Amino acid sequence: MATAMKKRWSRVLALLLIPGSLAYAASVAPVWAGHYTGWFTGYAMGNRYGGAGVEIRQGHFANHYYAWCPNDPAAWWTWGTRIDTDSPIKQHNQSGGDVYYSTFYLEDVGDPSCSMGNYWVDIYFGRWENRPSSDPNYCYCSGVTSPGFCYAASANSCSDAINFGRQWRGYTGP
Amino acid sequence: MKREAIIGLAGIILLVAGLCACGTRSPAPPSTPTQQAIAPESSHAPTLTPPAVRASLAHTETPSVHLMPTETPDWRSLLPPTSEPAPTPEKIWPVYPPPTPEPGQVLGGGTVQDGPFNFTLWVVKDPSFGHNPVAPSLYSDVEGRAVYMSWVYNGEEPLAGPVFEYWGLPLPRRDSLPVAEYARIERGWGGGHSVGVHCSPDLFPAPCSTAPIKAGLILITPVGSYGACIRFTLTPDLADIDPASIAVGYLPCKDPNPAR
Repeated sequence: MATAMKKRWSRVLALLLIPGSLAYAASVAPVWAGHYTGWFTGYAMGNRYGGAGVEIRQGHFANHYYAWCPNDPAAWWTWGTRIDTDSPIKQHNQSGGDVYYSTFYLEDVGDPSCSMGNYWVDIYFGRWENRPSSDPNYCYCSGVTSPGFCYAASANSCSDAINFGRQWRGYTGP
Repeated sequence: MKREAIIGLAGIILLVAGLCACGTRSPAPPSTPTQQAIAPESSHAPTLTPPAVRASLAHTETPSVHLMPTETPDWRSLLPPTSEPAPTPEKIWPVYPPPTPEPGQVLGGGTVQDGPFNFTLWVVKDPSFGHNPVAPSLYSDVEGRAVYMSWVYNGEEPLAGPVFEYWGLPLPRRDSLPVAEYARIERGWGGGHSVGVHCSPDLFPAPCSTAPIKAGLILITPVGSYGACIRFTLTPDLADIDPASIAVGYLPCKDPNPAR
């Protein structure tokens, strides 16, 4: 009777200790686990809110969505995932001044055809518009919803995004 | 028995601690309920189904949260100050030129050497570039055509930065943005990028003509500036690049030399 009781206790303890230890180990493991290289592109303007439901702004990025590109490991990262680029990316602020970003948060999706390959990163350059609202290209940026949502500014985020081109870059992520 | 009870208690504590820690591990920033309710759609792929499932992975607020205002701190305050340069990453990773296009994709161009650098500039066929690309930075005034630019450092000694990489003409313009900045480069390292064919340096989209189109790549280093230029013209119907017109040379792109 006592032996059976002990065995039962051992099973209970094992059931508690194993998942408990695993969960604790996972929680204290480093968050930054990998360094990746892939194509970087840029976008601007567009809809006000991104796939995560927050207003897209400088410091955000998009990547593949796992339902569209299940073979891209980065497509499975959750909203808000942080990445740090190997070198900073320069952008313009609303006044036209220089701003540098090397930390970006995942808040949007794109490239449903998965043409940009694994670990693709699409950097958001902002929604600054320096053209008058009467301009036919006001708040326009090829490749996103146009006219999009934008703010009057001394800079033009769409030009910045277009000039960024497509780059092969490295970054640290989950 | 007493020892087993202690071990069991420890297991429970570990389980609870682990689960609590896991719950806060995701760096997903909190978003306001209003924003989620208004537009759970992509700003980037507006014609496609919103990725609701992915959103559900990170946003786990209970329905009651949506009914009341919150005073959740704005997560954006966690972003680096925008008026100061970003801190240099602790580790400097090597950089390499972008993957080269397939030989059949190259319409023309070549490689020139300037100082310790080799610059390769090509006009290429690339279906990613065009009038309605997946990202604005893939915009091209000529459908399916792009300019590939890359550089490789051949110096014997590592070159301490900062090294700024610019593209465009004239270079650098007052409002030019460097496409990249490097803290240090070593022999064999390189970089580069592809850009669309831009008929005007400032206007997108731009009306095209048969006037020469120029694009340049320049590296501004602590010991000097180095670069190369490519120029070409469109075909008379303005629908493609005239391969015979493509020439690569040195900056400032006034009198291009043939590619070496």
